[in-house]
Amino acid sequence: MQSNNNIHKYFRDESTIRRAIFSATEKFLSLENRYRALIIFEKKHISRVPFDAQDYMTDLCQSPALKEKRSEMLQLLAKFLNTHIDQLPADPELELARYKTKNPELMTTSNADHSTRACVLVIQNIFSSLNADEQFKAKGKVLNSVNKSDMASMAKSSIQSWLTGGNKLKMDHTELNDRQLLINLLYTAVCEFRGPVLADQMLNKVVTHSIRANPNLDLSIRELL
Amino acid sequence: MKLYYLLLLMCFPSLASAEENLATINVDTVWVATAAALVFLMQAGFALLESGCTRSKNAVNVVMKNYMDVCLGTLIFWCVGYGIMFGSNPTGLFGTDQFFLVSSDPWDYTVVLFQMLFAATAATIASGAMAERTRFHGYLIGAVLIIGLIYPVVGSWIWNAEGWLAKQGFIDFAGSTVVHSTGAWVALAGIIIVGARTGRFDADGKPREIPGHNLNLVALGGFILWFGWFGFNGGSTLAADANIGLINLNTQLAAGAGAVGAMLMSRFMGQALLLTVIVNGSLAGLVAITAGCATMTPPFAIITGLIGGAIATSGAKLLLTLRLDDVVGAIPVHGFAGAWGTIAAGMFLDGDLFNKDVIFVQIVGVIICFIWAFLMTMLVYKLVSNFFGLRADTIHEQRGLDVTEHAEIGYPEFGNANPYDQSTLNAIKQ
Repeated sequence: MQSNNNIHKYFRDESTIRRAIFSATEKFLSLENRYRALIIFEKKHISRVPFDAQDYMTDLCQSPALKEKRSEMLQLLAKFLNTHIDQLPADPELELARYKTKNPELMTTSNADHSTRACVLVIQNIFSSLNADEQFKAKGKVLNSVNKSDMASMAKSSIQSWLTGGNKLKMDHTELNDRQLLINLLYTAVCEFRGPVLADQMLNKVVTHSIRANPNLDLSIRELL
Repeated sequence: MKLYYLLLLMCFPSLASAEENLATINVDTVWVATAAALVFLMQAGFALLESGCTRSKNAVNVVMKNYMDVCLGTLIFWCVGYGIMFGSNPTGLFGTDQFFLVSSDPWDYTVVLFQMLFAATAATIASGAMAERTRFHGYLIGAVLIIGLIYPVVGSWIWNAEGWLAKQGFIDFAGSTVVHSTGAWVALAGIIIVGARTGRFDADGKPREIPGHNLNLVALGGFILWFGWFGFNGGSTLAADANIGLINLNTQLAAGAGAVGAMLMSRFMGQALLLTVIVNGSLAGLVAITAGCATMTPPFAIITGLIGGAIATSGAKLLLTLRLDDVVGAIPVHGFAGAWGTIAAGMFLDGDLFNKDVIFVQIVGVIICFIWAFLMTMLVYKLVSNFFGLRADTIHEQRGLDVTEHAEIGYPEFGNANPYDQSTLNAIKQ
């Protein structure tokens, strides 16, 4: 049975979430505000795995007018997140990019943001390649190594809370080395579960898939490996 | 002119004898120097075979180790190895002069050249066994100590006329024990200290296959090694004499028989006929015949090679049972088949078959050489591991040692999801 903590939490790739948000908000927001809704997702929620639709709606519905519609919007978003990807409209990625170009003041993403997003994306994709038992074991192995590592305490505690509970994976306090270590710990775990050949293949697939879905994160993803 | 020359020789027969000696030395020198070139070519064979047996992300690293084994082996052996191996040996344990050889007769220079390539061969055996998880600098430091101390001491016991095993009548014509087994025992110690590649064995100890990236390179490497072996064994006569025919015939027969032995053993063990196993089988046959190629008749060469190939195939299985990760199968091929070949040289000694005393000396020699090479290398690699680092980090294994050790990629175009540019490579290396 799913616990309350896990309601409205979704392991979906970036493109699917963007398409679901764009569809769910159509009835309630103007086109410009729908792009702004996507920017809120990219700035605050894209690096969090799993995606928490409830939290996202809280951030999106700040105005009194939208607060009233929050529940309805959340239900609609949940519906679209559970819809098969083929039935969702096309990813508005290009239109969003054009909108961001016209409104550069809305975008203040740093290299560090890109790197943390890339890391979360890769981890998310690695985890989605593992079965439940392997996910559990991998988390245990990573936790054990993180506990012993000389990572900064804030970074360590955010990773620990992700590994031990249902909290979102936040990488805000991590250094590049920490993120590289995390990916390597997962790679090592997969090597032990499935052998190095399958681990190499899986990592290659994850990287290819991640870069294809997020071409703007290309360099940040490579930097992690 | 010819008539005048003949008359001169008839009048002064001693002059004729000196001329003959000079001519013989010249021909011997040409042959041994040519054989040295063939032995040198074996390094290319090792590089191709080992590189083909590893994953593409480690291909450059393996070739680099082979390349540097020759370079360092050449220098270290000239500095100290030759002296320890062939210098005056009053104790029978190690040579005490002829270090940094700068002034000697042409023949000595020829022997130094030939022997330094043997030393490089011994050192490079370990590189394949320890591939894909050994740090480059740690490996090289170990290789220097092996070429400068561990290998030449064994050589001084067996190939130095004053060596204690040589005096017992130990037979190792071209180095089944001196070169191949010594190299393999070094490799055995190396893989124990460095450990298996990440994920090579599952939680229950069951091995997982990690196929090499290019089996064509493995086969080509096998062919080149086989070709070089005619210089390795044939050149060990240190003379351009008629025995070379028998020696190289035995070499050829044993190689073929080794492949057949490996094939039969594979079938007996219920395994598929793998190219790597067959190539290793022929190499095991070559290793096995190396000790007795000049002292046994062709039928026994076939038996020696056949059993050598079978031993190498079953030996590879034994290592996996013991959870030892030998990437290319160097230990069964060079160690187990080398030990068998050395004993076979005593068993099948032409004119004195199955002489118990000879066989006993052979067995004692094999055991003592194992103890020396294995224990000394354990010590060397342990020290290297503690002070310089021998095992690559898991992140290096993940990225591949080509990038982390050399900032180079062997195959940038194919199947690599991480096409780094040079600045990224340098950043990663730092």
